[in-house]
Amino acid sequence: MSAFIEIARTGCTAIGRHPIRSTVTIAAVLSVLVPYLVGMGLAEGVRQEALVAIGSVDGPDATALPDLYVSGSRFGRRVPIRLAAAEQISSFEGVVRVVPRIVGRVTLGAKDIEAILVGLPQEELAEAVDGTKIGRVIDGELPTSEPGGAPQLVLGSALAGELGQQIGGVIPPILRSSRGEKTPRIVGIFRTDSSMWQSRVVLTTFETAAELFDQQGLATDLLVHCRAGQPAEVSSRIVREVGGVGDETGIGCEVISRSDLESLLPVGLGHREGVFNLVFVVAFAVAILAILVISGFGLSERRRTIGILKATGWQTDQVLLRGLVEHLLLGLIGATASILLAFVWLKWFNGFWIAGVFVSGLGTSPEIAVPFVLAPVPALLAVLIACLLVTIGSVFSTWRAAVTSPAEAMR
Amino acid sequence: MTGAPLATSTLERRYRAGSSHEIVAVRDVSLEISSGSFVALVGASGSGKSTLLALLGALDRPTSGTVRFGDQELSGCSDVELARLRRRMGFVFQSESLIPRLSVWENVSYPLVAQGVGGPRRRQLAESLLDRLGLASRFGALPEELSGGEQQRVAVARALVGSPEVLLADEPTSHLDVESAERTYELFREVHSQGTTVLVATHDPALVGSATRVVSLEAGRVVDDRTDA
Ligand SMILES: Nc1ncnc2c1ncn2[C@@H]1O[C@H](COP(=O)(O)OP(=O)(O)OP(=O)(O)O)[C@@H](O)[C@H]1O
Ligand SMILES: [Mg+2]
Repeated sequence: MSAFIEIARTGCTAIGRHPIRSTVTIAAVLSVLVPYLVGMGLAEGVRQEALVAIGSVDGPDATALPDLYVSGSRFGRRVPIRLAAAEQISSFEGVVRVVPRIVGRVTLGAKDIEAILVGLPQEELAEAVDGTKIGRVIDGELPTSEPGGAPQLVLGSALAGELGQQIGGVIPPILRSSRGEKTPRIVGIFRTDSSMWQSRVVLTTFETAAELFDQQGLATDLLVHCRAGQPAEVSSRIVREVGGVGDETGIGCEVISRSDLESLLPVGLGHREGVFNLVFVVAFAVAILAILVISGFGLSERRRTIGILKATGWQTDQVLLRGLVEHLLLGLIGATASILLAFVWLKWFNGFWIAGVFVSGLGTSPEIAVPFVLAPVPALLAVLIACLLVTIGSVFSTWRAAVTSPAEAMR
Repeated sequence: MTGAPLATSTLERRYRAGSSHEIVAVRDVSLEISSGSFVALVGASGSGKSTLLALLGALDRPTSGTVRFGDQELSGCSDVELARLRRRMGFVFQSESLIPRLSVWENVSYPLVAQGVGGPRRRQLAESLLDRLGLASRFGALPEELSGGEQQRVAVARALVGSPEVLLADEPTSHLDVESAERTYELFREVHSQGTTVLVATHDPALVGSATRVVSLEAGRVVDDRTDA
């Protein structure tokens, strides 16, 4: 046991004794893991943000979720839909309820922090956003709209933290409406244990949202709740009949069912992840080669050293243990540094360059705060990969040298 | 102590030189090195001294024949058993054999790491040996900062640090001046007087003079074996 500790200790000190070899090895680990972690962080961030749109985070009570999402359609793209359509759809057979919703991007505060603003009718707010009673996950009050009064907002916990805001605080005007500037007041804050998307969301009434975006009579989409078994019929009727309503011509409408949306989302992201994974596999292979080459640099020296160790009474397993400790530690250092660097890259450098590679529509230097979530699974995987990478590079050559006779290894 | 800690029987070691040619570095060597003896191995350059010592020290495998240490035959030993045997022997290599990135004292004490001896104790043992060999001032130096003779003495200290039963030294004084060589002989004589079996390959008449037995090699064969009174 004491031999184990003494040997492990020599393995640790070996890292400092070969500064160049160690540095190059860590650099190789970084070059693989940092892009991997950044990519994974972005994928998860984008996914979480996308889930906001369908209100399908945290496996909520499915009956409270809408069955159909109806938006306008122009040139095959989703565009806002007129509120008049809501009334029309509510009269359809099989429709229980139609809730108009506004979802939009806003910048808040002096630091121009990006957030997603969700506006729902006041009577809906009390009920649910994603199936949970909103009242249960916020501190403070639910927003109301008083005619002529200040816009009332509920901030996500992370947002509130970044803005340094508390209930009762005011933030610089989000947008200037045609009726002058409004200074929104914060009436509530989501609890920190509420779901991830809520931490970056701004919730307000439909009326306030319409006012802030200066878009009257429009909704981003309509959430349609149907009677069981009816969504398909309702959907086709909406497509058939709603398109031509109102004064605007050329606007059709697009209906997405919740199940479609949920199945589409992972596929869409999965596709990008697939491309990314391919790139990553290539990078991984290159890195293994690089590390093999690196470990080849000191090979004759290491062979000799191992020969000497064996000649002076070290067992093969002890020699291997020394190498393993050295390389696992290097892998751990590399993984830790990678996680830190990935975080810095995403947080402070806003995913410079890589966000553009990974998320379509973003340039080299994204103008929005890129969403990211560094989940524990990719982080753990990173540690595993790093240790594997580094040990694979060395274990074989160490083992080869350790099983040859000392006289030969020392030659 | 009695018996033969080291014995060989019809030992042969061939090296492949090129595709067809073979060199027989050691041939038909049957020796018994009795416990507590001081043996000098002499012979011209290329006569097979280093090869024989490496075989005796369990550092190399014979092409045929056997080597026994105590009652164990080396070819039948597992890796762990071989390591244990090597710990009972100290080996001084003819060529440079220090680990480049380790300091002098670490080099000396490294064999003890595998035996679980703690850092402070290792340091202390290394210190006393290096002091004996006139290297106290080079304690923390790196091998590359040492002269050839200093490196040789560090290697001697390393061979002795585990208090071996057998000391195998391959031309340990070839790079040494008279005074340093004398210190080394003295140390050898001392460990020998404490019961260690000493086997030295050397051209140095002074070291041969310390020996109780002189084995002469020629082209891999034992051609003379004299035991002095
Ligand atoms: N690894 C090797 N490959 C091929 N031939 C070798 C090898 N090692 C030694 N030899 C050959 O074996 C013979 C004996 O070599 P060895 O080193 O045992 O001689 P030595 O008596 O120690 O010589 P010296 O006094 O010069 O050290 C020599 O002819 C040498 O060329
Ligand atoms: Mg020799």
